[in-house]
Amino acid sequence: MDPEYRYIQQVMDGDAGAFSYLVARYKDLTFAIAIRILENQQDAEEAVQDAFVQAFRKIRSFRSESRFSTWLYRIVVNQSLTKARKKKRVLPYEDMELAEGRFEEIESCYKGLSGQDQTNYINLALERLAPEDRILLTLYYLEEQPLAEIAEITGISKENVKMKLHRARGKMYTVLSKLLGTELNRMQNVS
Amino acid sequence: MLANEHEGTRNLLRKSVPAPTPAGLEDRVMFGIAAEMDKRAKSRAALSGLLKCVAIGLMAIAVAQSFFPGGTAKTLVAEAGKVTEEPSLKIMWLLHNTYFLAPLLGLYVFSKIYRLKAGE
Repeated sequence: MDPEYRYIQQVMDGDAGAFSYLVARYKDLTFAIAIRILENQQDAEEAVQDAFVQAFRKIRSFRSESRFSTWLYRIVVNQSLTKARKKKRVLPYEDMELAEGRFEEIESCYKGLSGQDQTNYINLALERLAPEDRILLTLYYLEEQPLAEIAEITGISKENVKMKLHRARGKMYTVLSKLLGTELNRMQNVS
Repeated sequence: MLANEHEGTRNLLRKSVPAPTPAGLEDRVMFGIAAEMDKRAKSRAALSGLLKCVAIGLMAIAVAQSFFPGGTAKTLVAEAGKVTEEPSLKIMWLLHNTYFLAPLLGLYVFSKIYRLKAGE
């Protein structure tokens, strides 16, 4: 029997201490998801804490048909999105999509930057995307979750995930192209 | 999307470094869990105490009602004896004298159990 399910069963039987195994195992991934959505350490920490408490309360409703991580991520995503919606944002999120042909051009320009600049630019680009877009990009590209799992975590259909992911990627490149505007112009002039 | 396109995007996103998990997060989460357990224990204790109070109160009302018109010491003893011997009559007697409390009590117990099951 998978030790994770043994711990889950123990929690279901009333052993709260067994929950620490699940917290230790998933705290980093849940925090990574929350911070991507909320862009603020304190909010992300609160969202993770609330999500774990909610998971603990509802653990009896967990059915082993899906993975525990999927079930938990869904709670974290919902908690974080609820928190994000409550916060007022001054700048609107990016909503334009760039033509696919320019993706390679942007990537090559991006590769020419120093490591620190690459980090700064990609972080800035992600900040300008809507939380829903950021979470899709994070789950698919960084956490490498399959589309079916992402569909379960976000509560949207697999086909919709595919479409939204495609759009989120396009928006991210659009923001990057704006941020890298000067660099891109310089590259075009050189060539 | 082609696999190499995905790889390009993946490499690009990997450059983004989110804030690391704050130290002590695990402890704070477990503190929240302990608080939740404490809340549950308190709710259970409160429910149990309330049920005890209600049961004692109902018995007190039932006994007190036997003193009402016609309730002499003689009849009270006789009634109590009869009730103790026949459990079905005991229930009937109790219901007859406390029926007006039953819906309220039922509603309260039901809502309390529902909330406990929901983990509140």
